[in-house]
Amino acid sequence: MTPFGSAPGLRPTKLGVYLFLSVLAVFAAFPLFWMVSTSFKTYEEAYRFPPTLLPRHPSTGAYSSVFDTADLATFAMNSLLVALVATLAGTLFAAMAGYSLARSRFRGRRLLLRSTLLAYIFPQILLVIPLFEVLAKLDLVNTHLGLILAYVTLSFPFSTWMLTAYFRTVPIDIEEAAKVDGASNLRVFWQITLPLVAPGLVAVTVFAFINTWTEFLYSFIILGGGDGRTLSVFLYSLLGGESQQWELLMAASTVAMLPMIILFMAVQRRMASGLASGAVKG
Amino acid sequence: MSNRALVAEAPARRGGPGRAGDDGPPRLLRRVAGALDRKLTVLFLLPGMLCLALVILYPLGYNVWTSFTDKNLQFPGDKLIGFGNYVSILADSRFWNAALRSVSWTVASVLGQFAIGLLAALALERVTRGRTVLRVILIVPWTFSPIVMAFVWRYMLDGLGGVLNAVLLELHLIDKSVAFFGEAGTALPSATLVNIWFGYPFMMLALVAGIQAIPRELYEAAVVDGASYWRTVFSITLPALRPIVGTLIVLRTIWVFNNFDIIYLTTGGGPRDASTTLPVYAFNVGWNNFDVGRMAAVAVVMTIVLLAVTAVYMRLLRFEEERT
Repeated sequence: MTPFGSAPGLRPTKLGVYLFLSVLAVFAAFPLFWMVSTSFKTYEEAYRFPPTLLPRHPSTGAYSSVFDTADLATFAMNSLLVALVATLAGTLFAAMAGYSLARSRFRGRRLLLRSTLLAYIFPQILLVIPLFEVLAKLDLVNTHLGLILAYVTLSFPFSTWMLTAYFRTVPIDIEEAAKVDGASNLRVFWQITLPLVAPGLVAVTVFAFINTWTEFLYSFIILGGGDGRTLSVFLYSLLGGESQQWELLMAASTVAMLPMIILFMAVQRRMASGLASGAVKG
Repeated sequence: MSNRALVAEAPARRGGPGRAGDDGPPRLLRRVAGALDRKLTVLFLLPGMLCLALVILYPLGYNVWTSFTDKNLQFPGDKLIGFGNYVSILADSRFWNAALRSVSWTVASVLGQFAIGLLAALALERVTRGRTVLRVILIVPWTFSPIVMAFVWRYMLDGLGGVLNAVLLELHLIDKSVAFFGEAGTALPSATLVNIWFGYPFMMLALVAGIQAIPRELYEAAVVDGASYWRTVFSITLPALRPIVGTLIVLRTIWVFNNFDIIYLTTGGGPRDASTTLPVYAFNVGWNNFDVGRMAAVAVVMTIVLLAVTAVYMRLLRFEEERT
């Protein structure tokens, strides 16, 4: 039936499995290692060929010149503000919509759930110019509020989709019991059902935060240049012509990635189970 | 600032703490609160749907409308020109070349992500020591933003100081350095490699969760019957994963097909269009040539293709939802 089906000798050995995973781990993590390693090199060493694996004379020169020439802290704060507000609002809206879609029985409910997925289909590139015009009419171009509004919808469809699946796993009997005791629908949602889907909420929140923190196209179009820029757009402006100052780019990139790495270390266990099982049910 | 943004948030506030109030507000208020509470599930849909309408539905409608006009950002005013934009893009060989590249970019990326994600998930399931550490390392690519990803890979694949060239030269696999993102033959494959690197961790995580949900007894029974490891993979694991795989592949296909950042930031679509996929083509037409009408037409064509793909997928999977 399968090419391997009748050959028990091909059972993967422990050594083989570890070997495969090690090779993959190098492939996965080498760019991160290379980024950090290069960020501590000098301009000359970054262009040395063949390159050195670790900096010979580690220097923080690249970091100080990035911080000297640009107001990196401001851009980081912009990114953080936009990502946090958009993530919290988006997750709250998605939780409400997901609950509604999981619990209500009105006609067109299924259609609505599907159209949230359809929202995911429309190419960002399709939305970007009309969105720009909408925001221009509302006087929201070049404002963080405009970008936040766009970001809320960036992860809303996917979050709603996942949370709907999560809410379905909460037995309705629990809610009925609370209602018999006289609790309002809102109280049931807020105090009973919502805490029960906490793993899903964490996963969705982290996922949305990553999406917004790393997003490029919308912030490029909506914010343009200036002090209001997010980190992504600022980093883009560092990209020059043919000859790059790689050690500077790598130092700025390392700073931009730091929050992501910390966040991941903190929540990776919950991410792995929460996000995956939600996506799976969706 | 904007009133409309506030309107979008208002329903959320109405649905907010005001209604939990059992602590004795006037009777009328209570009745209103009670009535609102009974409509809770409908009210809950409003904020999200309003955002979607503003940021997606309106632009979509606008976009379809624009695709039938000769709107150009350089000149004021526009008029309806029927299917003119569609005719001109369908007659444009650059459009068709971009479409072909989009197909190969999407198929190669999704298959690569899936294959590596699946192998990694199966392998992770078989190790006991160091599983957590390995998993953390393996999801590292997912933490990268498109711009940082582009920087690092551009540096690693650079024709001058790139580490990949150093390694390949050392192994005598190439005679002279290759500017991977800068040469017509390697630009799109290199971007695809970056995309596979970035996208396999998500596949892996979802598949690990799926594998863990398969009842152990199935495997125990198979082992009693003398089935080999690969036999159990093909006759137990993969069939059990089918619904997940379907969802994953379709979501990824949509995402990759629509992806703009990775290609734009690594190769810029070049050299000379060698890596221009449909989103990059649309962007160049609209944002660089200001030909918004034509750009809209490209976008509409892309959406129709994706809708067709998704419709087929929904048919195939017959939606788990329907059973509830």
